[in-house]
Amino acid sequence: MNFLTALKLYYGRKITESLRNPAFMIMTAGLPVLYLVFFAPLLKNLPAGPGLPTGGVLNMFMPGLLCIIAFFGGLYVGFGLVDEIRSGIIERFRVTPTSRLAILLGPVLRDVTAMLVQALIITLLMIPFGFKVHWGGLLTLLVLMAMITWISASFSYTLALKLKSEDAIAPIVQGISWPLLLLAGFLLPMSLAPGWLQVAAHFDPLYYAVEAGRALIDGDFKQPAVWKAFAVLIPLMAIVSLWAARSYRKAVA
Amino acid sequence: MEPILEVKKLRKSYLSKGKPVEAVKGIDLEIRRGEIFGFLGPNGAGKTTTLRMLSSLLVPDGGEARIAGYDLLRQPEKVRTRIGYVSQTGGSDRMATARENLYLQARLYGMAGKSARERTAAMIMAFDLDEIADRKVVTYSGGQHRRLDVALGMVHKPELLFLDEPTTGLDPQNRSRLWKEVWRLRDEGVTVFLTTHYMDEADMLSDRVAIMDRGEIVAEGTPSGLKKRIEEDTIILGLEKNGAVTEQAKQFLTGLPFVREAVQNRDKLLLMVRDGETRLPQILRLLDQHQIGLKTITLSQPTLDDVFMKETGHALHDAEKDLNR
Ligand SMILES: Nc1ncnc2c1ncn2[C@@H]1O[C@H](COP(=O)(O)OP(=O)(O)O)[C@@H](O)[C@H]1O
Ligand SMILES: [Mg+2]
Repeated sequence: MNFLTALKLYYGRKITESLRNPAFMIMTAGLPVLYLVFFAPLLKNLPAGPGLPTGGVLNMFMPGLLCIIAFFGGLYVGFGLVDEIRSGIIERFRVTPTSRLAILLGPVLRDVTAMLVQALIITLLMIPFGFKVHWGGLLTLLVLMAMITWISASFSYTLALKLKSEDAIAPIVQGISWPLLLLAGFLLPMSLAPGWLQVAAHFDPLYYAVEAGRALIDGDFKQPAVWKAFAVLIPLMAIVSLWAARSYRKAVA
Repeated sequence: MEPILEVKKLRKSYLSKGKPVEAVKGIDLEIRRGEIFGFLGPNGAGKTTTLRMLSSLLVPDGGEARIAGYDLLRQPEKVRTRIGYVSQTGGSDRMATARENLYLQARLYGMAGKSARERTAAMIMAFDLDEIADRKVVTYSGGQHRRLDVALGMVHKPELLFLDEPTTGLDPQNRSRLWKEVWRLRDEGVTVFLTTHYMDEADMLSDRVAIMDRGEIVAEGTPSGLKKRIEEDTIILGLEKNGAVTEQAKQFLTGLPFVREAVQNRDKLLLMVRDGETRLPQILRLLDQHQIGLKTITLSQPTLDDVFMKETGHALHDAEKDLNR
């Protein structure tokens, strides 16, 4: 069967499942609101200080926030797959004559979709609080975010496929999530950090995304951070996708 | 006619805690079109591993297989459209309805919207799912769930259907109902390859049986053919409680030419007898002549359990206990 047809079927199945799951819908739509209520009020009273951009404070925090959403949007999805492996659904799909890569990418695209919905909700909600949107920049940032979710979701699913147990995935996922987030400078720019920390940050793919985000949010495409982010994320996406595709082809699900 | 499945020297080992476990040790198999082939063996014998290799889920370490005219390793896509596989756990989507499950499955096998819908409706009727077809699978009983699983495996009209322990966990009523489904499939021309660890099920359900133990096939044939190889029947005599008399009975019964062995256990006497059915009247007469009182008498003909015992030197259920330890 045609790859795209299969992809559409697997994607459709996950979307239907999500729309029917109230917990998933509340989490997806509610999380941005939560960020807004707990976080935006703090920024209002933040004085401009050394190292902080003079522009809108929200414009500095938004890229970091969006990157967290994108990263976490994919990182934990493997837990759901463990359940599907146990119930035999994945095995059933793998004996059909459809592409095994489509079995992976259907759910990944669902995760990307859910993340984009969250990103749009939060963007729209932040506008009344003084967030100035540059639409072209935002669109480019959304592309970067889609790549991040794609990478973290593929990684998480493949981990689940290989380890087949929540208990085995949890420490790995948790072990990498906080270092990567903190090193990315998602709250405050890494330019405030001491030298060694800045060096360490350069090994964190998220750092490049956040840096690019801070430029893109103001529509500043000329900054090198923008192309650097693509230069880091595109190869990473290729590597993770290849690893995932290989595992899905061979896996003992 | 070419067999629908032909397997040569198929093998697979896993790495478990650093040590290799030989799950399937180079087995040969041949299945004819239109038969029900039963794969009998205790838990851990390697049945699931074999089925997973044959349905292209698991790459064998060695050996070859031809299924429905295609080479499993070189043309897995061709094989996949011709086989159906129902795993031990089934694999239906529990948060969706039977109708949605079947429809998606039909689409995945390449049917377009309209024919997929028609096929779904036909499967719902054929497997008697119409009352529950629009309820979520989570709400189904064990038997309903299993019928949906088998229906999912049959959506694309496969020539060969693999069923991994289709009746495990079902109550007797649903078990016999599933047997009937399997017979119906055979009558429609489908070849069925099923695994089971129930001796009576392999016996009743299949046209031919292979007995597997520890990764090897230890016997193969029709159930009655296999049982004929066990030449003795077992007669169990329950005698009136009297140690001396029991001993006396044992003495002269052992002397009879057709009694191969007599084992005494308290007031029970177990005889291994060739042609037990015809010898029974004779034994009764002799006991009467010696005035030995008899309380009960049982004649049991060989079962596949006995075949298993003979071929492996341990009982089918002991083998399971060994592995569960
Ligand atoms: N994924 C696996 N990793 C390691 N060992 C396995 C795996 N799957 C099965 N085994 C081992 O292989 C043997 C055969 O298992 P299996 O094919 O499931 O037997 P059966 O289906 O007859 O119960 C068992 O000893 C089992 O423990
Ligand atoms: Mg099994």
